[in-house]
Amino acid sequence: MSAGLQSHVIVRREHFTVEVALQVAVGETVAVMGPSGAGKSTLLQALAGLQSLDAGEIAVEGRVVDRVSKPRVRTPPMDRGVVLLGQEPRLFPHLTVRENVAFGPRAAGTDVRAARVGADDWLVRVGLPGAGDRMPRDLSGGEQQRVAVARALAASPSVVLLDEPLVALDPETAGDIRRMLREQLASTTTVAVTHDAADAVALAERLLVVEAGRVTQSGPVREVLAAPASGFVASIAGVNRLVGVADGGGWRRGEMRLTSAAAGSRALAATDGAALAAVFRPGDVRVDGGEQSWSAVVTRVEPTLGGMRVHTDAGAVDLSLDAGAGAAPGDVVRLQIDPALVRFVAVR
Amino acid sequence: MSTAGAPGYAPRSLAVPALIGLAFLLLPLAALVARVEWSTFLADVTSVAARSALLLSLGTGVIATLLCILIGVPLALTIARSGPRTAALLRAVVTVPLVLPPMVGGVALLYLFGRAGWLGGLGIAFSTPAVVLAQTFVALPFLVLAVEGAVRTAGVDYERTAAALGAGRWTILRRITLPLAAPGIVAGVVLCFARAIGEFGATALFAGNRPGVTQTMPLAIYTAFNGAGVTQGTAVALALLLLAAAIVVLLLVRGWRPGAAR
Repeated sequence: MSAGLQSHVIVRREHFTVEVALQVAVGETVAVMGPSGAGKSTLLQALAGLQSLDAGEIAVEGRVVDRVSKPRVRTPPMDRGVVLLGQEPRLFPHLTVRENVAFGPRAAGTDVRAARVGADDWLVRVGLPGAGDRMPRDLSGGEQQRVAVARALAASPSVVLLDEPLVALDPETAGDIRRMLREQLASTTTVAVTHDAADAVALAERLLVVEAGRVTQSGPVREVLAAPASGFVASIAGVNRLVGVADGGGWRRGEMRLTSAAAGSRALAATDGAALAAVFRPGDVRVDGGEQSWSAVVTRVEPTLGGMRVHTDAGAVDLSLDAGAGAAPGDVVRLQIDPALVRFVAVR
Repeated sequence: MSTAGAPGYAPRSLAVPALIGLAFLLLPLAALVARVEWSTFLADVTSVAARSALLLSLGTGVIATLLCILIGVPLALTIARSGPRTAALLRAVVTVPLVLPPMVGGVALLYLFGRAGWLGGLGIAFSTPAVVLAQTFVALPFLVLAVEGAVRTAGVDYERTAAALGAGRWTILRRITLPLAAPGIVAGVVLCFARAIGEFGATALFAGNRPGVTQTMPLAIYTAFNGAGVTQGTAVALALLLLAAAIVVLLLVRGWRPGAAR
């Protein structure tokens, strides 16, 4: 692949070290997800040149912009060709919308008239035709974020970094801007930090999961979400993930057992005792007992967006509303799941 | 969604001391205006001594203010972008001339630039440049503190955004940092100029009181009150002229509002 961004970022924080290797092909979008404080923002700040590395190297389109070992390189943010788009639009309050968008081209030496014409084109592309003469304070939050996108892309950066740019917006506006970003970033090398799996699916080809400063999982977005390697990924994918062990061609966790003749999964062929996670959708769990069910004592019930989360002595399981209705702390329930609907994932 | 100008919940009875404060500031000026001898006013303010004092004041005041901008804005930027300890130290240093009696400032300048001083060879003392230096010395802190506050409040986020968009340091200073700090800079320049044309103590000791060379408006007014050369009526007229000049400057600067002003 031709490299849009090649990086090995090592930044020591007070309690842990962020160490992430990230390669993005030209035109590719990689989503980065992880719990709060996992080091996602630190990664972006380092790529943007706002945070110095403790070790490692960053290259943009083959040009080294940051290197700790000799010969040391530390290219300032303005000379990297990297633009960071954050949660706050940060439009320059004293400049009109058009002047904001034209800022990057003007700084690069484009003459005033050409930069203005270009800015108006960008405003059309982000869905704000004719807004050039308005001041940032007269725009809604969503409109401001659109202008920020136009301003970032008008600077024709080699790499665009998105740091949760939709998080401050209401869901409908966020959806509109997500669609716009998807169109405009299609051929731009992009790293998108997000906490919303919908962003990753819509914008990115690959997903990188960062937990406690390390990459814990990476791959094509839907593959990662379908085979969560951690509880965090399971939670963003909205699926259940119970860690047990391989046991005689099946899966066992305490009293819970799942065996299936049809399960030709390589994971199930794992050596007995190897850690194995069972991944299944909340809607596929039933509470009516029957074959391959297990009993569990309900300790706590909490409502979720899609149904109920039932905490039991055998672990927490998300259920659909139908299945979870009626469960109360102290109840003994028999949970059942069709093994054909379970995906078994080796635990590293 | 600014709440500036909303009534809030301050006790209503505070209006009494507030009015007293207002009266305290305005009554002396009213008393001054009341004493103006209007029949001789025109002659007084157009006399050679008055005109040369006014021109000298305005000229030196403008030059001193430009000097303050030239060295004060960079100093303010330095302080605003320093760490908290360095900034506190630098701010204390800048504040010294502010709390020092101007007379002491004049003596200090004399020991630096006077005949026996370190920089005595320049021959500046008791000349028009000495007036400018004295004014710059006492006015600089006003500009630096006002600009420093504005730059610090604006923060570095917009500068970082501009840098990420590819702008160089001079472009960022010209198009982002200074425009965002413009309200503070305007306030600083007004205070600075007002302080410069009102300067008396340091000028008197360091530059002297030579009509046409170092006798600025405040010195001319003082001299007039002491009865040397001109009458007391002239002093009052000159004082009114200085007051009018100050008000005109204030109005001019307030009228000029850069786009950044919100």
